[in-house]
Amino acid sequence: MKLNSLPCSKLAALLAAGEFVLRMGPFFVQLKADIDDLAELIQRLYGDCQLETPTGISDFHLRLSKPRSLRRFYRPQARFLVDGHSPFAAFPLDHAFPLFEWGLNWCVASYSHQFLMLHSAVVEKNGKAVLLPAWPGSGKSTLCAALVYRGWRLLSDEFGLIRPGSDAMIPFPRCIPLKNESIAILSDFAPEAVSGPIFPRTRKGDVAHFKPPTESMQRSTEPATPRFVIFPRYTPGQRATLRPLAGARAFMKLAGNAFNYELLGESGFRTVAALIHACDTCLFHYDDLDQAVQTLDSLVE
Amino acid sequence: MAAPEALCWEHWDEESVLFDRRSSQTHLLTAMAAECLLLLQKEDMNLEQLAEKMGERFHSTPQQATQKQIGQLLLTLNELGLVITVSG
Repeated sequence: MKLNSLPCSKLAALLAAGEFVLRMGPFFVQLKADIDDLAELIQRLYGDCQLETPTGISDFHLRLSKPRSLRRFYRPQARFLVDGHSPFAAFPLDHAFPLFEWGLNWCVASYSHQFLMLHSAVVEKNGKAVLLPAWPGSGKSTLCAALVYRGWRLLSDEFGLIRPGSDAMIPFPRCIPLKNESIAILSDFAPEAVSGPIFPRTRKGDVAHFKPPTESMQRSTEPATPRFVIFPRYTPGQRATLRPLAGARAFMKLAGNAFNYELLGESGFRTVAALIHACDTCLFHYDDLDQAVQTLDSLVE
Repeated sequence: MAAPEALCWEHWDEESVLFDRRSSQTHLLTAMAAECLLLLQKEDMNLEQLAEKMGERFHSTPQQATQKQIGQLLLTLNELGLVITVSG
């Protein structure tokens, strides 16, 4: 059952009872929360997500709670808990949604070592998946959002998931969080894009979450074959330019920004090597989003 | 020299990537460093013998395999635990 097929009041009740289980790519995420307006925002941004029957077996048992300190009367907060433990400091209560998003990222990065987890956006068109690995600040999320609002399938904005020994990228489509100037840039680029409110002054600046396209959610269990590894870099004043990157260099860059390459040892090495052998590898500098999308479109046509 | 079974190789054009099972470290190797290791995997050599073989291999390339270069390369490979230098 899709989230948007239920009334919001029902979702809020499921959340409060801890019977809210989302299927997000390969993960079952169980969430308990009694925070006003959270159900409405989750429904707005994850309306195409599959709601599962709680069986007690989930990958992550999460909770967003309001600490019962005196602070709740003058500056209320939300705390993120996983299996009853709180891995980081509470957020302002009205930042509960970004807290959920970051907390879930933290859980995946910390526990999901059945996958090689590359710090990479992954998008797909015409059956060809393109990995966009990059460090924060390189424009990865903005480029990823631009591509998915121009017809590419979103597999992930943050996690390039691949099972060791496999040659397929596993989708994990989620909201795309954009920061600061990128929010207006993407809203101008794709006025039809659905987004949540702007959360001001988070630890990453102002943040808004953009809804993943419906088709990407509908195909969220369908792996994709990687064909390109492209390291994007937003470079003001630069025409969109792809430059080939030697395989060994691409290997080191890709492995170097994985979440768990070292932890996986030889199987991580073999998996990255197979991925690089199967793909063309490039550096990509761009400024204008239209040009960038056009350039990447031409790769997969 | 690290035992051959301790090392996993992947090659791309002129460069290689090496995974050392003992340390779980991954190394990016130039063609010269890779050739040096592969030669030493086949047989033990002293610096002069190695430099001669490397000179044959890289004679016509921009990478002049001089004895001094090879010596420096061996020092680096030794620090990484990929070769063992035996004196005498």
